[in-house]
Amino acid sequence: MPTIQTFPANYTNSEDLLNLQARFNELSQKWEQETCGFSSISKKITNLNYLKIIALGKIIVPFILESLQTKPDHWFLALKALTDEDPTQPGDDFDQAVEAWLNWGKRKGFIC
Amino acid sequence: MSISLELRYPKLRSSGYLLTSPKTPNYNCVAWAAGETNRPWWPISYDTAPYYWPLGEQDDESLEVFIECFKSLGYEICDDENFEEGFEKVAIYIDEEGLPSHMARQLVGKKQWTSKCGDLEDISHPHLVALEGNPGYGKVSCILKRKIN
Repeated sequence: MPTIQTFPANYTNSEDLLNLQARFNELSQKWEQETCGFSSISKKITNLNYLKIIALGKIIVPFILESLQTKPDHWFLALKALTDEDPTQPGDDFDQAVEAWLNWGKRKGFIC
Repeated sequence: MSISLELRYPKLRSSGYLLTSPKTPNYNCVAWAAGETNRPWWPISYDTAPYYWPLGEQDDESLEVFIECFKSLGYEICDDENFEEGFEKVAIYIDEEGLPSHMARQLVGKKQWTSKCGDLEDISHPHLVALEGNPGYGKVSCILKRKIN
């Protein structure tokens, strides 16, 4: 489970983290199942499960980054929406975009 | 054989197909039709890597936008999917709303087509109809071709 270092200590406890992890896993699996055959990026990022993950708020960012680290997927727009940042460079390919977000997450202390 | 593919595109089994790559989200059908394998191509209104569209940021994902994109790559609209010596062809599928849902490319010098199915595998398939239907990518709406240099 990712260690959240930059959120207020009273924001969550270990039980909340476990619940969040379970919720993220459930939603991300449904999202993948429902959209993995889609060619349309728009349809992927407007799928209800993807939107529900974004609706969990900034607290979910470390979970997304950990998922991106272990199994790269289309998390770029969710991360951009949640953090209001974009560490990628114009023209980056998929692997470069993944690396840019993972390096950002490490700098911010969200992932190791 | 891929159960994931056959569940989503039921006509594949009777049409016949071959898996030609592992699953990957690194590129999608439009990139594959254009010959790229390092980033997904799609017209979206968010200027965010790795998503790419040759004509720049777009808030319109209509069939016309896809045709315009491939015209910019040297393609022109043609009549049918039949193999023509000296040309390569691409096909645009549309969904029930008339919006592009998929693209396939005819393999150079062959009568087979190749498709990247979302984040699933690349396949080769003998006919475009193999991916049509609902479930499926809808129907083929436009064929374009360009001369092979």
